Amino acid sequence: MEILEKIKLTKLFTNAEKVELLTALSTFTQDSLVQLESVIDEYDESILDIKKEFANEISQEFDDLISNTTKQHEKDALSMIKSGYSKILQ
Amino acid sequence: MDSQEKLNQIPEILSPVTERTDGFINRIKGLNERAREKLPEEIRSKITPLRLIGEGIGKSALGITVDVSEGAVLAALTAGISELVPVTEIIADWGSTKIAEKITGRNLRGGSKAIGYSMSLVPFVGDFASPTLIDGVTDIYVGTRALLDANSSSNIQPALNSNLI
Repeated sequence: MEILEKIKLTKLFTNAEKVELLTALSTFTQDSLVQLESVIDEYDESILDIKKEFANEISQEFDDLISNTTKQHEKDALSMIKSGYSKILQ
Repeated sequence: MDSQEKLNQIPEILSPVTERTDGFINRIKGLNERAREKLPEEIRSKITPLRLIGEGIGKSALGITVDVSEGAVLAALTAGISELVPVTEIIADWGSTKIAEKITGRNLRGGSKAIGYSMSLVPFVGDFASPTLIDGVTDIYVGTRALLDANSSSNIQPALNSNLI
């Protein structure tokens, strides 16, 4: 994937920062671009791992909340919220 | 239990989720800061210091926030149960309420805006939301509403069927 696409897709920068970088791309040295790409790759890979961990832990938290309540209404509601989280975190 | 008391129950019940989410957001912020420090100076000069960006960078990385665009389906919704605050502080949160209205097809008024705000648990990407995200949003909305109702002193049966919301 080209550096242009990586900048657009990375979670490292805000959208405003991405615009700044993309408009200035042609002014950066080749060394800087190589370094930028390396930093982006490393960061985004770490984020993927963290996201998976987050999804698993949040799921476990909901399981604990569900098992800790005796009210069936709360169990059902928490199950639904858990379901929602799992869908949005796919 | 009055409405305000009911609403205050939500953060309390889901505080473990809140804390977990906050933990991950802080972790990502640390990772982001260290990554930025590795950037070449000419690139770093083009971006904002992380301390000025706030939690958004962490939530964005987790896939639980997006940017606002007025009048569009896009909304700056911050996910994470930590954003569930008393209704008096969120009544002006137009964006998330509008999204909730679009998704549920209902007009949200008064105290229901608090429920609408609970919709700020959802990411949208681009000019539309994927069906999976819509499903996820609906589940969270319905579940949060049911959780609220489950704490009602009037023994209202929680409506887990979204058609009843």
